Amino acid sequence: MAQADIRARPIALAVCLCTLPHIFNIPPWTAAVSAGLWVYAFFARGRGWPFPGGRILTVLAFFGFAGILASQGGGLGTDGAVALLSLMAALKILEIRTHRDRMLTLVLCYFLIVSGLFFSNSLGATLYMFFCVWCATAAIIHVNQPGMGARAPLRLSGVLMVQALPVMAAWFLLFPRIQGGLWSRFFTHAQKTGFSSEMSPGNIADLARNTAAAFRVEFEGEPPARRHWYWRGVALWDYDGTTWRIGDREASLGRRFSGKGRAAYTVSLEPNGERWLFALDMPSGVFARAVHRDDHTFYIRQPVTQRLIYNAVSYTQYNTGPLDADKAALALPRGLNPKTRELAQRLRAESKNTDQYVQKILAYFRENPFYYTLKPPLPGESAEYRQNRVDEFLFGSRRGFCGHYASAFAVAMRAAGVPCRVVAGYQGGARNPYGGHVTVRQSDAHAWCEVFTEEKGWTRVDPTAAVAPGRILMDASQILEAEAALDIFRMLRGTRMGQWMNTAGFGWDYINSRWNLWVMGYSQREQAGLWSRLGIDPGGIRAPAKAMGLALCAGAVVAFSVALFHARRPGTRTDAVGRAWEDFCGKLNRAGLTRRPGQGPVDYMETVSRARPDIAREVRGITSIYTRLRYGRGGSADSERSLALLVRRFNPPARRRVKQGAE
Amino acid sequence: MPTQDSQAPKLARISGHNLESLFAQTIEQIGRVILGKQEQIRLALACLFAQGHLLVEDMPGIGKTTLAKVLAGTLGLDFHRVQCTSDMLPGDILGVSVFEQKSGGFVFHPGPVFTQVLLADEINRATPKTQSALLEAMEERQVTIEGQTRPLPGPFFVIATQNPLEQAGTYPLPESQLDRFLMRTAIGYPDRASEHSLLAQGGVFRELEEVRPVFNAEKVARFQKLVLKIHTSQALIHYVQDILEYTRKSSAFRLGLSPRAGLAILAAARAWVFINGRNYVLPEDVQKVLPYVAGHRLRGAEGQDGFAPDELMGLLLSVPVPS
Repeated sequence: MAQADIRARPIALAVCLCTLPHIFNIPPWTAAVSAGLWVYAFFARGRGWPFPGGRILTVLAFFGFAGILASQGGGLGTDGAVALLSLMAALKILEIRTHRDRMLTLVLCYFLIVSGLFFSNSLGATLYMFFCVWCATAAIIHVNQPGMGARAPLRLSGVLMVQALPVMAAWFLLFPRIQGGLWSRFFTHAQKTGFSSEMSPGNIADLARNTAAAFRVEFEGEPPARRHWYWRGVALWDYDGTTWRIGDREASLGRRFSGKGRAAYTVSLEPNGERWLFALDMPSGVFARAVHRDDHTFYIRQPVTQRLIYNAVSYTQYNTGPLDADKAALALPRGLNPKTRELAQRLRAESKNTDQYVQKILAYFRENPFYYTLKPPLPGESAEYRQNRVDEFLFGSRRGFCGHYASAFAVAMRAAGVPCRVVAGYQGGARNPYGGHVTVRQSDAHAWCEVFTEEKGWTRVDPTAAVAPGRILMDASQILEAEAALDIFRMLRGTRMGQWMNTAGFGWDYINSRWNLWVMGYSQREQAGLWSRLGIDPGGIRAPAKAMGLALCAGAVVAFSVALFHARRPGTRTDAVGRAWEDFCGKLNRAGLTRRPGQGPVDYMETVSRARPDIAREVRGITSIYTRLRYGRGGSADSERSLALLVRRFNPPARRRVKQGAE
Repeated sequence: MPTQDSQAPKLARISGHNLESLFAQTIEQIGRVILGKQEQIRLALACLFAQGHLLVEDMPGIGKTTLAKVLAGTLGLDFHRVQCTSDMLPGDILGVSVFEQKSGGFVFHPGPVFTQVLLADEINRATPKTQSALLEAMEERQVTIEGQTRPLPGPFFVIATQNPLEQAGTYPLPESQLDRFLMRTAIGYPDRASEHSLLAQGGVFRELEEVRPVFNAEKVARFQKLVLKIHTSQALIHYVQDILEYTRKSSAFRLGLSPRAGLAILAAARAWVFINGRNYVLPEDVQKVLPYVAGHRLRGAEGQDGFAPDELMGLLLSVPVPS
């Protein structure tokens, strides 16, 4: 039947749209099979392709289930469950025979939509989810009211969603929030792109190509000068000749230090699967649940699998105090990098103090032909070179990026007996002209060194700056651009298109930061604040019940005003006569005599007169004037007035008081 | 009802009659023959005064022919009856030109269609060709035979019947033809008391003979024009539109009501109001006639052809009467 064909396509389309965000989360074969099923379902009726019978579908469903179990290694995690949902929804389209099947398939769509929250709660993903809800609802409308065309169901669905928005907002703000616990177990942001707590050749260069936001920072007041934007992540102590590691450090309550140039700020950290929190050099405190290490770095016990928002305070001018330099700050793998050791000892002997020695090493970088590049030559083939990486870098290739410089610098320091550690984190960031917040991207990843002196404590030294001072003022993506001969961004730079894209990028980043802070960051704490402002004591036992009651009331008020708005919409005839009649019906309704919507006035009058002879005369009078005004050949303003007056005076007593009221 | 009382004199002035008593008398007289069927009598009268035609779907022996006869008799109109069969030709209804030797030319012998009240019994037994010839005449109120157009006498009112149970050897009327009937109704079995008196008096032949005309053709035609003047307010037209829209959007119907159906609803409601002696239409009047006007024009989502009046009550309950 041609009719059924029209009804199948929106369903197939809705399932397809709702599954699309999962395509990369589910096993590739599941995605491919689902896509095949959509295409088949979409074209099958139009082209007269056969529909699989119940038995074939059962077999397909069984093998699909078994296949997903197998590819998930026997268990059914979140990914597996979503894959199963996607596949079964796709199969269900082919099983559609009755109205119930259609509705069931579309209800599955909503499950598909909400399962998207397992993978992402970013603004873009949320907007797409709204789009999916819009389409799925339109499909439901189409299934129930076919023959409205394509536009009318979409419009109605949109109207429904707009009407739902205020209710959604009220519930979002007031409904008691379940923090962490329930959801965090399910969240599976497993991807570990981004920061790593080790530094080995190459891993920062890989990051330089990743322009995703690492975190966003909102300062209280003006941010400190850009040259202070060193975002501390981890301090690396142990070096084995190839890789720098954090080593075993004790957790402390945080070492106190004196400082000036206070900066307080809020960081919204994107999920990265690591546990490190980033803070501006030198942080004195990061929010309570973090563990404070004695090298002024912070971590939390659970990996960051969903966006984390925390406050921090830092001092841009600081003195960590005369601590005992750790032995770990001097350790070097035995026997490696002989040339570097020799250079270090020679220069140290020439210097009067540590400061001078540091300057000499930096001068060595500056005065010799070192190049900053994100594509350093691979270490030579010989075993000697592969082992003595720092020697190879300092005397051989002299090409590298921050990791190479920091590593070489630290080795040179330690070789001369100067305590030194490598700090990995991010440097720089882009200040968004719209929000004023600073966005730090993965490509801003950086490594620098800290040298310990008795007078100043741990002091930051950035050897990369000695070679490529521009690196500190530019971000890495610009360096990448400079290195890529045919880069689209480079071609666009300076053109109007480029400027426009830049502006749009900042705008989008700004909206994202607001979304993260205001919507995703809306937690129990913020809610408690709102509750207390609304007069509910957040600590009280009945606070959640009160808030729910308030949310229900708010929802009801919104729904009621929407209903009122609709009732008073132009086009539904709301003149004085109609209003008088509505008031009259309302009064009778309160007296327990409800008019059915499809009941005409005379019919209603007769029903009322039979039920309540005591008010029959009044009701007859009012109805007679109303029908003549409304359906007769027009009426005078006089009769309109008398109708309004009669209705106003009309006051049907409740049944109990009939006897007394009749006199 | 006060609404009617206050309006009746006005209408009486226009028509020159006390319509209420006139129609009460008419209905009473017809009711003496068609026992216990006040509603059907009123509907048939309304259909006639709305210048529409009536389709009666019922079993044989229910009194369809009697209704047509007594209606014609009471209104003072000519009456013809055609029993439709499958071997019937259009000429058998419309008439033929026959060569007459005496005058040496063709003389037209008008068929049964040249009358004022025509009863077409079992119309679905006639072939589509014959059906369409009759339905054409109903719509145009004139027939064209051998290139010559002959107007039918006014008023012209067709009551067609069909037997809903016997389908073998019939040609069901297509949707476009059904549309030409203003109303479709059933008469139904009489109630126990009415049937008792019918059986006790051994039929209604005597009563049928006693029928005296209350109207005449000229008066009927004049009243038909008066019906057109019955007022339908903006609010009422909106209500009818809401009903039309509902049938078009609801999933219960595959085919909603056409604008022509909307005009038919209004025409029927006007006539209904007229025979009840009021001069404007209320939503209740629309609700009264709608099941009979819309029933045969709607197609159900599950493919059923038309709806019985009771089945359309749900439709009327779902469309709110505007305030």
